[in-house]
Amino acid sequence: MATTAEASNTTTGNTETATGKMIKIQSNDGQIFEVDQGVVEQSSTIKTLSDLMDVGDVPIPLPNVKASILGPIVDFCNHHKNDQKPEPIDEDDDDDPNKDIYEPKRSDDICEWDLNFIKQFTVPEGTLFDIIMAANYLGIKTLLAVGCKTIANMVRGKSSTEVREMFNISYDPPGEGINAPNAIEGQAGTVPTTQDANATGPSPQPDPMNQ
Amino acid sequence: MSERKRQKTTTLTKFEQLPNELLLICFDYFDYYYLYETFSSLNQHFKNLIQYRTEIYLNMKLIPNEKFLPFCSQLNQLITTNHNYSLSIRINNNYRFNSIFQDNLFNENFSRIKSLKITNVTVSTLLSIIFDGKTNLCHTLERLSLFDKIGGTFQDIDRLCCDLISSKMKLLKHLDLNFILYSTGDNECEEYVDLEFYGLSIGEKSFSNLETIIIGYIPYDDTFTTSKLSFKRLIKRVLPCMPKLKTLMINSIYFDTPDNYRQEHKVWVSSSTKTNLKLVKIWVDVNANEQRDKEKMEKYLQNYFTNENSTFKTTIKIFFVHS
Repeated sequence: MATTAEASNTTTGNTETATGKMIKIQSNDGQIFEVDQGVVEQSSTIKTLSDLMDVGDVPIPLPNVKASILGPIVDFCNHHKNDQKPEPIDEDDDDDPNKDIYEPKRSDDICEWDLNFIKQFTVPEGTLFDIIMAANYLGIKTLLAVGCKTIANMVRGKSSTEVREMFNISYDPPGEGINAPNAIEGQAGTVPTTQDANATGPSPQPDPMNQ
Repeated sequence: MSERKRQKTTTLTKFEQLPNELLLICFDYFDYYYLYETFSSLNQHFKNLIQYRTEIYLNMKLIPNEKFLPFCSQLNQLITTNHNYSLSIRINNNYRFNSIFQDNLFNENFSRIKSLKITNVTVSTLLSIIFDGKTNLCHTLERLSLFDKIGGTFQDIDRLCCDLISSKMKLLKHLDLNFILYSTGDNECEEYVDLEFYGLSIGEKSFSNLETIIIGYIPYDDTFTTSKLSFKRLIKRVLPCMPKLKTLMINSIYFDTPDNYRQEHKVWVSSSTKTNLKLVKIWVDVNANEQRDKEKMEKYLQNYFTNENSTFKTTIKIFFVHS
């Protein structure tokens, strides 16, 4: 049964008259969130759906996002709804002469509020990856960037072994993938590529999504 | 473990379950060497993602000496099979520069480089690599930045600038010269050295594709000698060769005589050469006698670069440096 969360006014206290039309969105576990236009504008998916469906009072279903993730996303969008919008960027136009389009992007420029926000999502619980996937599904570029930068900051400076351990990354089965006899020669790094027989804990299984 | 708890554990999302498009976004924050060393050895899925990456940015400084050649061999093999890559390199070492561009094993593949950031090489080496028949970077290079220390004389720099601004550079859009010149010959240590740009011949065939040019403060070794450019030469000889220029940054220019900036309505070049300019940052060198004319200079430059006919809004910033 659907329940309604008062998400729209939690951060800024805006009223319906101040922010325009309110719309409802529904998580895959049935929870409904009421959001204003400032939130809708940040999500290309919700904006497209609300424009197409002319939803009225009917909540827009978001089947790929659960309430425990959608709630914080609404908070994030509420916090950022008054941010200055970046000017539209022409892909072929390199406006910043000091910016090298070929260089790796910066990941150390997450603002303090966003840093604190993203801390509630973790690798062991898998919620950090849930929010990244939800941000991608909802088309919220700023949140997607915060999530990916957080991953980058966690990985930076770590060895292959440490990255495997941190993200519980699976090994290829013996004799397959990078452990295949013809693939072993000339491999990058010096780390073992098969699981240590004495290692404790379950081996991550091959991922069906990426087969 | 209870059934409910076990079920909860198995549904946790993992890093490697992120769709490839999201993993690739995460990889955008890293240098290629780090990605290769860290992720290629994890499993086949990550190895494939790294190998088929089309944008390769390499900071050679991050590669330990003992791994440099093995890694270059791996990369060479990889870019031989993947022709759609875009290669961008930052090099701070003459030996590595030569290894890549002068070794027959590598130079064919590495000659398709699009962006090069370089220091600690001489102008003559650079010229031979860019315009040499084997590597011919002049056909592929889109961005070139010279930083920190470059060996040569001011005459070499002048020649380099002329060649880089010419139509020999087929695709070069971005040129950034920001370095200290270190001696490789006899340089006269005067107060400043003029960049003459004598090698530029104005005509249809000499047009460059440059959209950004940054000529920074270029001092000579530990002396007080720096390069400068006369404003008259800039607008009569240099700018007309760059009709596509959007960003112009120069530190610094000087006026040959007060008449240059007092003749406010004099037009030296046709306005078509300025229509694409969107950002102009110019440092003006003023001597003690010119201090009282700073306002006139500023007004003159503002008027000169303001584009009434352009659809772009041009940002003009003028700074004064005192000799």
